[in-house]
Amino acid sequence: MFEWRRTLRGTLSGIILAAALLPCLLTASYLIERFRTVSQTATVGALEQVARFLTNDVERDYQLLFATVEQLSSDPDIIYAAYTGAFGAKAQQKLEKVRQIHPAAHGLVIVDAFGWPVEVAPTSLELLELEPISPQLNTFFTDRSALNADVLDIDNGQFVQQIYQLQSRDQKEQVELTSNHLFMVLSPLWMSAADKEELHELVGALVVLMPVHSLINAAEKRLGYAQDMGISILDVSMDGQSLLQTQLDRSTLDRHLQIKVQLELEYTEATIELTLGVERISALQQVEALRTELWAIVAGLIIIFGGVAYLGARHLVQPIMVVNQLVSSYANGDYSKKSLKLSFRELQQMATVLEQMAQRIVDDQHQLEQRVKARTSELQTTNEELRHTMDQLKAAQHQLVEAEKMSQLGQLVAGVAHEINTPVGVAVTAATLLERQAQDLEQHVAEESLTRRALEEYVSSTLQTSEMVRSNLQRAANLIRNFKEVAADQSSEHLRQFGLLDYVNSLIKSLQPELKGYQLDISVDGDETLQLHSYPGAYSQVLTNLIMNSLKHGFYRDKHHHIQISFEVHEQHLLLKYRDDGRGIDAVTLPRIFDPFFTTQRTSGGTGLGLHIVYNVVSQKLGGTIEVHSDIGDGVEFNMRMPLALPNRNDAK
Amino acid sequence: MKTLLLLLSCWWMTSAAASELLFWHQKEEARAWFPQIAKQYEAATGVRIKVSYLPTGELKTNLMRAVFDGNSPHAAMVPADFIGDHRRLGLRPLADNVFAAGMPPAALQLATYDGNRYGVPLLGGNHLMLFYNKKFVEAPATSWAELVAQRSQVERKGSQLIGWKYAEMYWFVSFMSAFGAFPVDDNAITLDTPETRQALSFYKQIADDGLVDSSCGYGCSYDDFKNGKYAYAINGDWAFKDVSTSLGDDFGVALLPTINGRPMVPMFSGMVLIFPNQDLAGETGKRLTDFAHYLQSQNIQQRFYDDIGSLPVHPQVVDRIQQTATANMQALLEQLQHAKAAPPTPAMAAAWIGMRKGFELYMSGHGSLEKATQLMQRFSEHELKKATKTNLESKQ
Repeated sequence: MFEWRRTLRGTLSGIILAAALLPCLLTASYLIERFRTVSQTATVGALEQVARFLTNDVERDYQLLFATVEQLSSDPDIIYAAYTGAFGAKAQQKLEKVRQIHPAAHGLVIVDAFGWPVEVAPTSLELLELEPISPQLNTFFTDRSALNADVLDIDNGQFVQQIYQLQSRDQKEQVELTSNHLFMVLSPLWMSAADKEELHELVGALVVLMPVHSLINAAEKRLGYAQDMGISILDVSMDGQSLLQTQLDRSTLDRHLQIKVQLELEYTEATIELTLGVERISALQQVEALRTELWAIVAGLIIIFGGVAYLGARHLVQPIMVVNQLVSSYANGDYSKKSLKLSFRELQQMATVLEQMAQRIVDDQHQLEQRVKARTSELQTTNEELRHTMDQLKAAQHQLVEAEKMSQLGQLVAGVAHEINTPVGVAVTAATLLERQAQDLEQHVAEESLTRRALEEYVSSTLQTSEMVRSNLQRAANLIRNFKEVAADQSSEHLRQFGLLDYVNSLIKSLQPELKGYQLDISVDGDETLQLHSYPGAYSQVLTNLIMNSLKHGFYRDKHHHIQISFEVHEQHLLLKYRDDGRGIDAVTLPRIFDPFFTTQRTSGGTGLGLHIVYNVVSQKLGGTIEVHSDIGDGVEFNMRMPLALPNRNDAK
Repeated sequence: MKTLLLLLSCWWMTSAAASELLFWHQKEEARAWFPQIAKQYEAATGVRIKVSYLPTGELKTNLMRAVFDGNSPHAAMVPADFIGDHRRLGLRPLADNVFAAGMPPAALQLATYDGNRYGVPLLGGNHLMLFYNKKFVEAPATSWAELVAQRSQVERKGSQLIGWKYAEMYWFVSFMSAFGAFPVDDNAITLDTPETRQALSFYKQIADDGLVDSSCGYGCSYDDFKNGKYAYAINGDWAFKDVSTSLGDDFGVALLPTINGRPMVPMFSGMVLIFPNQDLAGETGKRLTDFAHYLQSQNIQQRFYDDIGSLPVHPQVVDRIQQTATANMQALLEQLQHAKAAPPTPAMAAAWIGMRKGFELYMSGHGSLEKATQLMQRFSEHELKKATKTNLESKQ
């Protein structure tokens, strides 16, 4: 996808699309946002209006109801009904009529001065237990100074539930009440004899039951005309306390645009508030619908403009593509004449120029080919000479390496010869002494002057001298044997089984002549049982070169030095470590120590091949790797890692 | 001077007496008749009688209101059981001089409570019976089973079976007796009984079965019966003359049918003349006494029967009626024999109120039979308690 954007066609398409759509999107988004604000304001305004209407309606209903209650409380039939049941039938009819006219009056009861319900409407309330409201009734009848009606709040879910159950005829049916509260109007029923004021008697009370549940239902029915707006009643409160059974939680309330309206009701000083709300989502439904419409239009426009952009870009880009193809063909070496005809003049000119350039390239190419042929011939000749020279150089290098090896071997031989010379010389001297002592004994025997003491002295001396001969010759033999091993191994490429620890110790012994003159300790650590099936000569070469290197380049004769040689097996590899505590190698020299002919002591006769030989032997013959770590004054450490199983080679010997 | 003073005192006394007597009644059939009687009385005595008719069911309440308000009529002709509310109606025990000589004791008993007479008996009866239209009924049913059996026959002839003022307790109480129930026993309420529940259940059942329309008012047993809408009607003696005139030979009267072999025993109460809040000792009292005697006179008692078909109490008039009674009248009189007097007691007055409440509860379906009779009982008892406590009247 991103590759497509990098094309001219893609870029052009994008630009056309963006240029077409972006202003529209921005304008539309701005307008929608403005519409949203206006819509929200309008919704709030509508909500306020609905709330106002509802408040007016409810207040009017209750005003009318209270006026009726007041009127009814003055009706002789109602008053007398509390006094005597003879008026009950007429009173009941009037109560029923009031109930039908005023739905807010869910139930009406005439109670007499004893708190008995003497008439009720509807009839179902005959069985209503008035016990829950008897405290209010008692207070009402006790406090006879109350001349006016009073609105009381009764909080008793069971009482309210009973009212609805009685009306439903199903005692077990549970109505899901929105509120356990009930507004109760108590209006006194005063009876008086016409001309006898002192006989003004409170004979009962007119009780109007107005469950808040019914109030809410009635209010919601009234809100039916605003059904489209989705307005609902969120709360009804009295003096700040919610009258609802289940109050909405904070998050639910926050999802609504809310408005609180106060109901002004007579006979109560309590503040009754209705909280109306409309879900923000519903309120802004139009906006959301418009937004959805916008996106649908945008999607459509994207498709349309996308098509237009694509076709337009394609038309524009087509000649460029042709030019691109022309250039590609030239790049691929196809310089054949194309004679293109393109839509745009500029591109046509470009194509013409390119074709001319192509023709020039063809001509130049031809000339170049000629020159290249000539030069190639010259180069081939030179190359041949160089190859010959390289072969000669390689041969010389090989000779030098072999010569160095021979030289090393020669040095080794010279060293060993020097060493052998001493014990052989001692042995010869002792043998000569033995010969003289034997001649002396022979003379004594011939002269018959051999004494016992002289014989004993002869035997003792002969034994001592023989021992001297033997030990020195033994020493010489050991030296020769060691040398044989080392030299033989160094000069031969024989694969055999050998114990590495013993072999290294032997090697060190063979190098004793070289080590003389240095204050040196060589320690060898490793598994004495380790047997290698390898080229011992290679190990000999490596260690010999390393030791000789330490002597020549690292050690001071007047200082005590240490060489540590250790080995271990790890993951089918032999890890061989050589460390000395010599003067170390500087950072400039270190990377080059394995280069052939590189030496820092050329003036002292260094050939610069020792470590190169070590590197070759380890990497090629033994199939391993070698690393060097060193710093000035910190000695040098060589870490070699060779596989136990040698790499596959043709070991004819 | 003495003479002048005497004349002045006579004039004053005369002026203090009411020049006009207010008289209330509830007899629909006498609406036009009573004013005639009043005119005749005025012509004879110079005492003007202003007659006011109030519909049945409103007379008691209006009388009470008038008494409470202090503007009660001087006299009223009311059912005898109103005497149960004698306190609230402001009735006082009447002296013997108010009663005509030879007033039958049985009639006097109707107006007597606790040894005191509170009203002057004028008429007897006031009981229910079975009216039937011979156009639809060949032989009147003597039992409810027969009545039910006649239904299809009656309906084939284009009429409905029977109608009466279904929700009126005066009619319901007739059915109670067939189950052995009665609202009171002396001055005690006896409504919460199995017998009452049985009666209530039966009463509702016949409406549920469609034998009677539970929404029927008085019109069903009066106008609708006269118009042939119903073959049968349960109505009272007050309607006898008018219905007889309307139906002529098609009119028939029979005893109320038995229920499960037991007779329906309607109540009777008679009509009495009462004097709410009146002191009969004064001049007005004299006029009222005179008026009472006028209504008790043989002439007027006979006219009660002849003109509006009401049963008088005057013994001679009663004899003559019995001797010349038509078959229908005989049936009427026979039913009266099988009627029970409505006790003029506060308990009965309270029971009428309690019965209505329990009845409405049960019929509306909002209460069981048990709940209904319990309500009847406790409400009646409460009303009785209220009626017997010291009230407004006693404070005067």
